[in-house]
Amino acid sequence: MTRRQWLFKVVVRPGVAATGALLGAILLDVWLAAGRFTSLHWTEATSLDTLPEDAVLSLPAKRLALVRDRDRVAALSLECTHLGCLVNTVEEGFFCPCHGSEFGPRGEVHSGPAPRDLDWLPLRVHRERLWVQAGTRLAEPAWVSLPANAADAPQGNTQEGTR
Amino acid sequence: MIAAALLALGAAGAALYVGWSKNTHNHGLIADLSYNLGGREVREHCTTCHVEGGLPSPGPNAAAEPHPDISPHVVENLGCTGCHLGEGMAMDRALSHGLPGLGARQVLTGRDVQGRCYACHLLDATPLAGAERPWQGYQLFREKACGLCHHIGGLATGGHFGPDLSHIGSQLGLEQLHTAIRDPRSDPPNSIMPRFPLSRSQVRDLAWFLKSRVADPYYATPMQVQAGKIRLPEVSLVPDDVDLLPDEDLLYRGKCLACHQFRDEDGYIAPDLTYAGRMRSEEFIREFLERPTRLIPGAIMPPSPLDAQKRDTLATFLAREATSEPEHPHAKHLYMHLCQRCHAADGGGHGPIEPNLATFPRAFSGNAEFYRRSDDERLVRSVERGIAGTSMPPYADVIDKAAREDLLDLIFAAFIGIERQDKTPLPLLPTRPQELSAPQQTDALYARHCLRCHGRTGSGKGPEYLDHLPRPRNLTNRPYFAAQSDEQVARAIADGVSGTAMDAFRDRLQDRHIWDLVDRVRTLSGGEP
Repeated sequence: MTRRQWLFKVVVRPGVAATGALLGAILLDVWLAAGRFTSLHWTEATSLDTLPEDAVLSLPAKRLALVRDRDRVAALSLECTHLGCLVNTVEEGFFCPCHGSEFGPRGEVHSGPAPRDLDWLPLRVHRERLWVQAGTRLAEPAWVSLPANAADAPQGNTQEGTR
Repeated sequence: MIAAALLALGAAGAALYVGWSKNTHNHGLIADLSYNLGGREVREHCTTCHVEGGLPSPGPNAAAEPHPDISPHVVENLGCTGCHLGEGMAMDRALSHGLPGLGARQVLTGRDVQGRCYACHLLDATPLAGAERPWQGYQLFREKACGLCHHIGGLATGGHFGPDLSHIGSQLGLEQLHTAIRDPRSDPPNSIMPRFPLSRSQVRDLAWFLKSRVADPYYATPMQVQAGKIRLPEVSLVPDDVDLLPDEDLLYRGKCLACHQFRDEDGYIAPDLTYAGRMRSEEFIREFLERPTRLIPGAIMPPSPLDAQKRDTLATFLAREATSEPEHPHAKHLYMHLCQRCHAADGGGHGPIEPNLATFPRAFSGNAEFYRRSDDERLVRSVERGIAGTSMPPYADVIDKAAREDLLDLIFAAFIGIERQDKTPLPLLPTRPQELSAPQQTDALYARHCLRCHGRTGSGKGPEYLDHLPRPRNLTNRPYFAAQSDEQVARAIADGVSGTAMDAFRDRLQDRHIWDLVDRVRTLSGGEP
């Protein structure tokens, strides 16, 4: 083994490996952090037993409403499609206090400056709780069937929703 | 040549020296400010205060003049933007004085600076010295029941009927706030916020208070606000200098008097409640307090903030106290007492509270054609029993029959200008066909003839609804249409409604289609009469 070979073996190779590992670690950390802070992850909306029968449960603090239709439920964004104001839940559906847009009980736009219906959000049931992905906007409701006797009987594991 | 150059150099040197030594900063030599405000670091360029490229310029706003004494505050510790707003890091005058647009960061000068005090200081039961006006603004906010519709951070209860105002100071400038309070309908034009009878200085107070509602208050972290750790002080709404009847305090606690009238107290926004107990049943009042739009669709009244038990007490109070009949020496006094608030003193329908009503009060003056086509019996009935689904209450138990007749005579003589018996015979209505058209056909008919004004859902808010006053009828008004016969609805479609934008469709529709649309109105308003 010449001196050069030895040097190459002891200094350059581990050096390259260490640099690569460091870069990899940094990339991984950025990747994980990005995942942690994105709105594309699932956040808890509410627990199943708070769901009302056949009605709308408005969660203004989370900027969404849960629309229940018998044995299924979907999540509706409460952000007005005009300028993003929080819409109010009223008897006839939803009403935006900023510029007076009116939406029906399923978020369909009836009047006002709002250009399109309210957005739907992906929803799923996991361990007795409803989770939503606030960062993804859907044009169609993502209905999720509720487990039987969701309100009282303790349910087993994950219940994946139907899209 | 050399002498001239030397002279010039000397002059430049002298100028530089004088310029340097003429240090007019009363707060030391600072090129770039960096200071700590409520634990947050804030940086500013000199151009924040030195508006012309960094040179102190003469004039009322120039920093060349010593800053007024603001102890216990110290200018060096506060910087400029903390109190005066403006864009701290901007390099030229236009930017440093706040970006154009909504004026959220417009520089505050003079007395307007008080609008910033409560962005750092928590509102207390007593005002801060020097910041009494925005504190008054907060009292007004509570007194005028702004909180029934608008939520602001720090109040436990708050409506969501109107936009959230927790951060409004970060979004709008003082001028915009001022305009929004003084004339809510200037933008957006379909705003349902009433125009409150506030003086210019009261509006100013409110604007200063709202300017201090910012997204990042220095007295708390957003988390503390969210967690309800920050509480704004309670304001006593019941006046202690007047004798109140038992339970009358509920009118104050429920914030009714911020808008409504009760005897001598008047909010100048909403109908008179003095005789409400005689006009409406206790059940009606109770239900109305709980959800106003169910009984009068389109009403802008927010649900009452009182709990169920207090609502009952209030309903009982109104029924109990409304025993005295209005004194009516003469029909014209009666008109001014009972009708003027909505129908206006000139009978034109633009009464003082007209813009806040769900439906436009029928105009008397200049509307003779409408009365020529209306049965006298119908008019008598409207006064006697009121018009369901609108703000027109029944007067049967408030004034006796003779007085009601006198009132109608007066209205015809003074405003309408025709004889009460002067009626136009109306053409016959087409007979109702045995079978109606298919729903799809009616959909197309509705879309072609009605949608522009009445809207897709019949809520009366079609694309053109703001062009018309009286506004298009809300076809989903269940109580109103439940009291209307099919013939009345068909009549309105076939021959129009004079004094409104509703045209006669007799010539534009086939006879049977009139009845299709009557049926559509029935569907929209939810059922048969």
